[in-house]
Amino acid sequence: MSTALNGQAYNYKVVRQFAIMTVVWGVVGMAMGVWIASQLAWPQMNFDLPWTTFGRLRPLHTSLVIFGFAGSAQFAASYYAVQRTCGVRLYSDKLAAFTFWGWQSVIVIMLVTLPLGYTTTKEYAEIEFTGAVWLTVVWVAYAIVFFTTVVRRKTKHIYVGNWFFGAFILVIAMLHVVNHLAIPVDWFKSYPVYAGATDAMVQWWYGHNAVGFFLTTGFLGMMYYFVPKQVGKPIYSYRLSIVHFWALITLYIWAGPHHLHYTALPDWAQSLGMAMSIILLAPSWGGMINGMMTLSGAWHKLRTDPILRFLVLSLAFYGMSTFEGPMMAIKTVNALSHYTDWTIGHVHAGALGWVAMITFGALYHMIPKIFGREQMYSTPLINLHFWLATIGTVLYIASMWVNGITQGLMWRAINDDGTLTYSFVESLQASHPGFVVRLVGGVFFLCGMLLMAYNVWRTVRVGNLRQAELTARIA
Amino acid sequence: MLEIALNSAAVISLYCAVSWCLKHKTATDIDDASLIPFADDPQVARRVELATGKTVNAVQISEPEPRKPGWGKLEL
Repeated sequence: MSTALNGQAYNYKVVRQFAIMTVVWGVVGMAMGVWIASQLAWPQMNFDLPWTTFGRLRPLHTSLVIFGFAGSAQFAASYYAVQRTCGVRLYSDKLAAFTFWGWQSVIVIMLVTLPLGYTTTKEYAEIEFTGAVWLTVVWVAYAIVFFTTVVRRKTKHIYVGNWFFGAFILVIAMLHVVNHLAIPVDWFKSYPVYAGATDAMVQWWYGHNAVGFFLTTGFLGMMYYFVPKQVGKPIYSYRLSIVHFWALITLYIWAGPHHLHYTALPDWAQSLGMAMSIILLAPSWGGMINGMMTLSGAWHKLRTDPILRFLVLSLAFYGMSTFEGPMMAIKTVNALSHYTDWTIGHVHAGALGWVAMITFGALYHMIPKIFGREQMYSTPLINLHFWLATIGTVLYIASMWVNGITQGLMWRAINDDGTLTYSFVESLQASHPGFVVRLVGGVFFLCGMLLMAYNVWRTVRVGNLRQAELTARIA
Repeated sequence: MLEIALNSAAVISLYCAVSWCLKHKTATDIDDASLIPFADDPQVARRVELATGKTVNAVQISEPEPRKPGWGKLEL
């Protein structure tokens, strides 16, 4: 069961860098989330300063957690998995290092410009023109590093996890460039080339696929590598994983119009988005079931392995949020849920429950290996992190469900004479307890993240890079 | 009529893509592909072999080459 070796090591340095920055941006981005959650409960937390108002910090929160935390996690995981599944060192150390420093500089640009008020105003695409161009350059370098590594692989077959990573890289490049097409009038001011309903449609084609490809497809690549590794069994059905891949990337791209129900968007486009969203349930659950069933015969490992618990719970939340999403895309349901906190709860079921949990599992799996340790500094701390994250997520989404349905029902309630039963302020007052519970949930989740940062720091501090190099031999 | 044609084309394209990916793939090929994540980890590979009864084409570990200097190789 052995083959010859060429003595070359994987490039773990760039993986280590991205893994550490995932934790750093996770702490900063989630702390920002807790802060803005407190602003919604107590407006005094805006401090009457323009830079710290909700309107400027909310896009900063989303940018830090999406691009800083989730982006760095996907760089780390894709660089780690592609080397190990292709049996070659990552292509070009210098270009890989460029992607690290380039990506961090993109996040710093967001960190500085968004509080200053420089924004395109497009959700998840707020970074202004110059930053967007720089992001494109970094992303092209990422594509070159990843795909050249795949091309130079020693294995005959490209492992399915790399298909997902590859689709994530290609589609994000397309979405980012098309949505950011604009006429610059200044270094940090530009106007989009689209107008009106077209602009809205392009934005939500981007916005929904930011969720579909940045926060789903890349993480499915992560799932297809780390779940089998942590379970110690191959994926339940490799054939299903291939059907899952093609079905997911074929369908996701059409679902964007469900963000624009009951707007100026043509009705046929809204209905198309709704239909595609419902069909999307099939591949989403196919992938979720494939991941879950990998544990067949190994469920007992959940009792002792908190890392596996993170991975499995992430799949459970993935299943839950990908059921909830298509339901919310149905126009009659959307008539109740749209513009309410239900949407925020849905997003965080995916963001906290799926994206963050699978990232935690992958990092706890990966960090000891890339820093030459047997295991993380403290397994009980991982366990505690698991429960804090789970309780935090449940508090968050449950409070937003209650708030969302309350708001939706109050806004549509009318008296016999046709006037509104409740004013908007009354719905806000009714929402206040939910805002506080959401803040508490966020604090739980952030505390878990801080525990992880401490655990990672204690592990890295005594890291043995020589040992990591030794175990990074390539066949 | 155009919508039906487009929808049919989409479904046929999806079917063709999946069929193309799976064509000429025997059960052994699929097994080998699903075991790729374990190929560079001999200890885990042995456990997987014991658990599944399938053979993993795993590798051995040797001493690493000395690292070359350069700005892109700074240790974290």
